[in-house]
Amino acid sequence: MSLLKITDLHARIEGEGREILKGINLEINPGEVHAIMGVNGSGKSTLANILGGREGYEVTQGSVHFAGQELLELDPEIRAREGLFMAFQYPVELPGVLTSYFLRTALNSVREHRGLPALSVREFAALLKEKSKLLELGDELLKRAVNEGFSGGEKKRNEVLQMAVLEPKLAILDETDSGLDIDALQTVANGVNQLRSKENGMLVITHYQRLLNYIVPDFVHVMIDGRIVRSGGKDLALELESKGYNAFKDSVSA
Amino acid sequence: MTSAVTLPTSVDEAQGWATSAIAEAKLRRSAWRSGTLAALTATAEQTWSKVLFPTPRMEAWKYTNPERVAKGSFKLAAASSAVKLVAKDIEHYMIPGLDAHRIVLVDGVFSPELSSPGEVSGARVARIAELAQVTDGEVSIGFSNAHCEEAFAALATALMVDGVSISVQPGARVEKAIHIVHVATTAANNTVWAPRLVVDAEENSQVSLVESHVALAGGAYLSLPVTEIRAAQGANVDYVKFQNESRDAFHVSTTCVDQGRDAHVRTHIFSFGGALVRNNATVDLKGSGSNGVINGLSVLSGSQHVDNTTLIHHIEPAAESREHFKGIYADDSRGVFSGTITVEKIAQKTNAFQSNQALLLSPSASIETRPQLKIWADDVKCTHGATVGQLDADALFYLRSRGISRDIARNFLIHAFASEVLISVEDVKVRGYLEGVLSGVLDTLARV
Repeated sequence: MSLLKITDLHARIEGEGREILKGINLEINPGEVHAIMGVNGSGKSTLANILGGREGYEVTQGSVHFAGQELLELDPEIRAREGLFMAFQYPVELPGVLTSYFLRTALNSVREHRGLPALSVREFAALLKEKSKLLELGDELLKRAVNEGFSGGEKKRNEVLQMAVLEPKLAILDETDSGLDIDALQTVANGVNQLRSKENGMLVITHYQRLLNYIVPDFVHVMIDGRIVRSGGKDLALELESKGYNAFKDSVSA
Repeated sequence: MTSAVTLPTSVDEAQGWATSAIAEAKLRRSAWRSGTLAALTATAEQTWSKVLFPTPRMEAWKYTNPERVAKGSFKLAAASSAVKLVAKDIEHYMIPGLDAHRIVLVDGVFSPELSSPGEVSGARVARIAELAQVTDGEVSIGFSNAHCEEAFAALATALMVDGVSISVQPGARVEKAIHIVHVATTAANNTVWAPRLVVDAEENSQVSLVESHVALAGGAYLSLPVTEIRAAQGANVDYVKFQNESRDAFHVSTTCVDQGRDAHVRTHIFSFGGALVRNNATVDLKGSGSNGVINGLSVLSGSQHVDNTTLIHHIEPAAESREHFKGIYADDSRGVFSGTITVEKIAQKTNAFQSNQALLLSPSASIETRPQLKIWADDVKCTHGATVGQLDADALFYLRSRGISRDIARNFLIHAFASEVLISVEDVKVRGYLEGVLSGVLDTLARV
């Protein structure tokens, strides 16, 4: 059974007439990494937001199935507990909310939903240490308020750490490469690669091919004007990089 | 909630309850021999007879209607409460782990049974009613402070029948915190009390005080506490006023801080409960190098109303003040912050910072914020800022996207907002206690 199945998804911003998504079809199976590439305004972030459950969007047609459920009917926290994870393009800063406390609350919410016992402070600390080591991240970030005063790289590393702790079935990485220099990009990509497995899937959303050198996808989809116009293997990203998005525009009317 | 306040038809009639309460207070003071107190109360009576209750037409009372108090009907609280409490009844209001000398007042009256016996090392702690029986001794029983001449301060002074005087000896470092607990009981309904706390911290002394105002039962009572703190040269005073009373209670407090050279005073005002609360707080910086901090946090719901009206007065050069008030308002609650900073012409090199931030949790909650700077000196650094906002939608979504429920996510963000004021409370035990109380209050707000 597929992990995620998007069927003819149409959507717009609430209260606006113009459609942003004009019939998206996409299927992700366990173990697969898919990349969606598109320019700004193509609708790729709208897709990520709708999958994550952010308010302010209206789905006018189509459906999204996630692990056998109708995803769009679930609250964002239920989506997360069911195993959907969204790595944000711009993670918010939460002054006054300690990272370790926040993350333990999140994990225990997820565990409770899955019928697992809550982790104590000590058990959680051990888990966090293990995950930080796996991702080669220091633990200095955990002692601070969530993302407060973090650099762009630190914020993205924190997203990957959260992903490692919550162990999602499907992770959506929304423009994870934006604002990162090459070193930070490598660190983050290494972290993400550590989390690839036969069971889970990933949807990597990006503007540039660069990220896909580090997180190598199984499938690449080109998104233009609210539609996926071409799908292919990882080489499609290279083709896109050399020819440019304009070369694919003709496919839109097809 | 219902209360049995009968409303007189006119304000004239309303002055009536104050007049009879003052007459009763005078009677109770008939055995007093202290010249200082006699002068203080006589002046207050005179002032009161001239000013009477303020009206909503007055600038200082534009956003907080004093007629709600004026038109009530309050009798001076009995000389001893009809409700006899034992230690267990008030256990809940003690601060866990805090090594404190405790002074308990029940329905406005000092309770020897519930208060700590014995002396406090480094300080002289005494009841004002006892001190007043003898002619003036060495212990302070009231300062004259121009800002205390406000109507409610005058009324409170005219109604004074007891209180606590704390004199900290020069150079003394009082190890124990002093915890003053005002408890209202079922006998409190329709009564008024005006307890006075006088703190005289002499040169280079150090003391930490906590003043709790709590209620064991609902009831429409009026509390008019007056707290005077004088910090002499180099003295260091921590003062936390914590108020979590009956939802029907009225509370109009006067806090006067007077700081000499190099004196440090940190005042925290926490307002969690009451129908109508007005805190009038004044900080006079009378010496160079003095440093006054005054922070506040109000957390309101239902139709509660809290008004923090403060005046920071820079009288001498090179002093510093920091003021930070925050408020969290749910339901139909209403907050007022009116903060004045006055810098006299002579007070060059003043540093004054003020900020006021409000978090509105409901569309019908409101805040009036009025920063006022009156600066007569030309070489000063004064900043002020005010923000009003709601919970950040992006932050809420971020937390929920990690599996955290909406209620808990809201609670996280509200706590985070409040934590800034809490962490500035110096004593870890006091802070821990306040955090606990705050959590309880916030848990009820988060569920909307």
